[in-house]
Amino acid sequence: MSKSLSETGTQILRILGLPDRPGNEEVAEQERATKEVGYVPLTLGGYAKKQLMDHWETTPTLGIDPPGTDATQALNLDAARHYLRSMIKLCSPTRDGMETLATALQELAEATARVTQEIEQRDSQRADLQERLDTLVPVGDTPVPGATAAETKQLKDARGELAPRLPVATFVELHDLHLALGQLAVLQGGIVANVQHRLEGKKAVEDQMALIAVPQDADPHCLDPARARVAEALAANPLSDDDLNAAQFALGTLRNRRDEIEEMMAPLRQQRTLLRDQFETFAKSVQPAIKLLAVKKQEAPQQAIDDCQSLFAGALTADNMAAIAVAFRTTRAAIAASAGSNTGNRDFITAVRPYLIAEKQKLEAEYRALGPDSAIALADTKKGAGKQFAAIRAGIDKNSGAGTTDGLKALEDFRATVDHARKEKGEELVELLDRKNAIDGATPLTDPEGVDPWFAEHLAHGREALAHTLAGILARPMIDKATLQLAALTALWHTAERDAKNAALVQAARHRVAERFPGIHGAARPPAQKELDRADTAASACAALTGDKRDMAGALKLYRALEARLDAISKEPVLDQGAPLTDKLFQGVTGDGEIAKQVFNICGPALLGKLDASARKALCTVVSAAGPAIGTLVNEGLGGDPAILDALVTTSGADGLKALAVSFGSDPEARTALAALVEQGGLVTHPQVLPQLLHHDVVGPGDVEARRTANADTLKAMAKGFMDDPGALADLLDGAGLGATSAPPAPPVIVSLLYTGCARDATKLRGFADAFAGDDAESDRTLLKGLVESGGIGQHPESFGMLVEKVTDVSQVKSLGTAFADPADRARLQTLMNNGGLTGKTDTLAKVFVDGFAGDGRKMRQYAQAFDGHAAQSKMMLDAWNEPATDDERQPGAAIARLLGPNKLNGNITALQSRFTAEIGTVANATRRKQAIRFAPYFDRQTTDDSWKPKTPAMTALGIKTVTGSVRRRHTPECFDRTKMGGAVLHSQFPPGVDLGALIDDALTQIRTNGLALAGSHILDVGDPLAPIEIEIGFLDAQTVNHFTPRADRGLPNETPQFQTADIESILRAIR
Amino acid sequence: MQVYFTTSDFGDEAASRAAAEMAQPPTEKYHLYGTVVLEHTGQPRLSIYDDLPFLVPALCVEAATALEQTGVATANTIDWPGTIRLTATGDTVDAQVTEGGSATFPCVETIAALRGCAARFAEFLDIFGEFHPQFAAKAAELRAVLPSEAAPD
Repeated sequence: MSKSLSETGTQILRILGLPDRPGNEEVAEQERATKEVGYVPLTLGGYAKKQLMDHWETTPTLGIDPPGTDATQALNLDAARHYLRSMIKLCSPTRDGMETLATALQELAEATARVTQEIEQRDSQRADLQERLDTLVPVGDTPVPGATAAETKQLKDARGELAPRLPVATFVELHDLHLALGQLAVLQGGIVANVQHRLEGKKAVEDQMALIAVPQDADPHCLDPARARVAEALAANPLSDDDLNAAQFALGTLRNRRDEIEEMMAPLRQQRTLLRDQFETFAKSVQPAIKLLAVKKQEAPQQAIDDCQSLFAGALTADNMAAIAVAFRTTRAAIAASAGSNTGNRDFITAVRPYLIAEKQKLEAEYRALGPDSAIALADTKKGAGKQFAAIRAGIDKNSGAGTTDGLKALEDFRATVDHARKEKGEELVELLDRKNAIDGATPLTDPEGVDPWFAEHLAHGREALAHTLAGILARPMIDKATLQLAALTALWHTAERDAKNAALVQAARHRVAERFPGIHGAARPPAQKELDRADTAASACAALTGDKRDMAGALKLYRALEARLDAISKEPVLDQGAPLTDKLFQGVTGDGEIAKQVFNICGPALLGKLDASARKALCTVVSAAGPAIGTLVNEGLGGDPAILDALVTTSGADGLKALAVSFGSDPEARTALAALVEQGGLVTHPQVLPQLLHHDVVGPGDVEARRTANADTLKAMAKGFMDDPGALADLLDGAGLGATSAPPAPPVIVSLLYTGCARDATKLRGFADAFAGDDAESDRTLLKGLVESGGIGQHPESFGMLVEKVTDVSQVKSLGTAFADPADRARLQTLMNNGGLTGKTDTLAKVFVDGFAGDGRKMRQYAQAFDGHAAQSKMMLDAWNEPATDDERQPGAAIARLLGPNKLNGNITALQSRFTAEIGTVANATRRKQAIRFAPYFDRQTTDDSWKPKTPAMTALGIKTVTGSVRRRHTPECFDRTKMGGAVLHSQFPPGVDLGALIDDALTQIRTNGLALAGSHILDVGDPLAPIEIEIGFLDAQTVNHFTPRADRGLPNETPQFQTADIESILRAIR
Repeated sequence: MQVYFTTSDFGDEAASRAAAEMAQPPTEKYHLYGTVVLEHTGQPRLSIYDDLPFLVPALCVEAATALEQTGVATANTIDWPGTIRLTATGDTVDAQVTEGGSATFPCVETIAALRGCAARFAEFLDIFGEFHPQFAAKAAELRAVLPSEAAPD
């Protein structure tokens, strides 16, 4: 319904802000117009139109653009005004005309109001964006404290580009600015992360620098310049990557400098030792004489001695060594001066004379040793030297106070000449002469008492070679060679001395054995006879060795063992031959007395006495079944060795003995091979090895007998495998320590090596042994032994088998030993094996070493050093990776390798502790912490887009065209985008490496099968039916999946953790 | 009792609507993230973040209807594994949000406020869908479940 004219006019007036009735002024104007023109009075419509014409363009909200109007808005407003103007011209003051005018006016008013509102909103957005810009890049010189100039310039440029646009931006431009600010936020965040990374790097360099100490005895400030260069690089503010690299380079230089100084210290230490020896000899010679002087005259020489002595306490530098030499000369001059002023003191002169004679001899030898070259160079001084030398001799010959005084003066003159010659020849001669003198003094001139001719001959050769070397020109190579020859000669002399003493003891033992052996042997049980024969043969053979094989120490040990066995066997009680089953050893055993006798003969009373009745009965049973084979095994295969038999019976039981006997029974060659292993393969010294190898896994459910038989057959193959070189096994058992266990009754390491490391394959075991056999591999054996004894392998032998099984080459095992040559490092490894999770599963060490560190022992050592004092953190980390149920799922080494990869820790093993475990440990919830440890290695920066999922039949069947990339950016660690976390409280993740596309196809198939709508969302179980993953799938439209979210906090396997935002931040800090 | 939404891209309801009218695009082509806020004097504020075209129908329409009809309702977030539980007890309703706290609101007012929020979001989504057709289906879905009496406050 249209309005009345009156209403319309009133509306126009109201919009114009005018009263709806004419005021006095308007009435007067109307009357004046009426009189002048004769018009009829204006109607309300006419009045309103007139008011509209007169006032609309001066009304602030209509005729003038609101402040801040942009060009587009101004155009819109102008159009509305133009329309109004046209209507004013066209419309009469009728009701319809007035309504048209009112509408046009209303539209203008609304357009103006709209523009005003838009301006307010736009200004508000500008303010918000300005605030965000100011927050991201505050005005000032350092928008991000610590950022480099280039980074700061990047930020400032970005701000400089955005800031002028903000105050004048239109709505559309504001959107662009919003996006640009998002990019700026990413840039700023990256720079903040860079700064943090550099600060961490700075701290690491500072920590490492703090560990570099000044070498002992060196000038405490000797490293200051190199240290200052590191500090200078680190002091750069802001610290750039280049600065950090420079600091790391300077750190390397500092280390090198420390090493150089350490290297320089060796000759200086040697020189100081020589000077000190000389000085002490000198002081010892002259101090008694000084005490004979008048008290006042003692002062000067004693002070000189004290001064010189105090210099030895100084820093070990070349300058100090020179100062000591000067002081030493000063001291000697003081003595000569004192002698000169005490010619009347006969006692003093007498006391000083031996010193004079000794020094003269020494200087003379030194002068002559300067050699033919120096004789030419010294031509000018030769005459003077001859005079000085003659004066010394004359002084000595006089044997008087005056003569001694003259001699002392001449001695110092001659010393000056020799010093001069030394300088001419080179300062090195001082050191070389002293060393030569020391070698002369230390050379053993006589043989030890009772020395063997072989040793005597070699000692003579050694002395001759040394003398020949020393007769050459005095030069460093000659002295070095002589030093080595002296060391070898001295060692040989001591060996010869020990050998002579042992030979005397062996001779005595042989006499005793020769007297006792026949009687005891004749009365012994067959195995005991065999054992005695073997021991006698071995001792005799050892004693008969000659030349470089001669080993009297070994022979003595064998004879002592033989004598002990003779003692023991001679004391063995005898079985009641008439009725063996009544003997107390066989109480409770029923059956054939002949069997009991066989058992007694095989085992002997000592072993039988240790066994309970059931064990003895079991022995009777197996002897009854396989007596001859057992007897043959014990006599031929084991050589009657009581310790091995004892261990076999007590560890493997009667059934084990029988299985071994049966396996070896039909194979004489195998028994011979076994006997060789007993003799030379180390089985005697490690009697538990054979029984433990036989007893491996022969407990628990299943066919125990079959396993025992299989073990016996494996041992037979092993024995034959070492037949040509049984010593190779001894090298493993003794040299490499694999025959021992540091945690009895845990089996020795060889058990794990054979059954796990070599998978029961005797050929593989032999191959492993060969790698550690012989003189060339002695160091490798020793290092491996170190790992067994103090590196935790002995306490966890099963880890070693796993390690050998996993390595790609035995050299990797050796690299582990080499890397852990330092006992301190081995102690660290042992701690981690015991408490640091490295033995959480038997294959953990193997996986960490091979998968994590590519079998590089040095990296494993770095790991041990990194977690030194942080075993709990290592355990936390490795235990989390070890939690999955299956071997395939448990991959601690692969996880470490991932963490050390690019975009993460970049090979920084130390950061596994200092960054990874330190940061990941801040995840408060224990379960999520373990999940964070498991997922962290997979967090990556892979990019993804909305075409990541190729079309599959499941998609085609439903008409799905797109699965958005946001699914991966939010729920897969590989593509996780931290900027997309938004306000989500939890961030659920799919298992790393899961085939997400297959899971989505599974969900789509279920949706199709169940006729579910392609709208909203659906919760479904997908994936492995035995370990399904609960997901929610969401459709943006019938063609687009834009959500695929793991819903349940499902544990292993296929775990789908629900990380909190703080957890994600911890993970990202831990890996970057 | 107030229930309102904010969008992460544009801000509060008014700003979001203005942005929609200006055809401003979302930051993510296929998502419109934001927060639904439940506020009542003297009670903790509950804020639920999610992809709004999913959350608003689930919480402000379907959960409101279930609450009205059975006194109990749950709504899931889709971007993260969260749940909002509404349990009526007499004249009040207890609301609990996964990892997001809990509060007690007047039941009738809450239902009305939820629906009001849904209606306003529907208007926003209608406009938004005009310029960004990928959201048109979501606008239609919301319209389809929105009770006819629901109207913007």
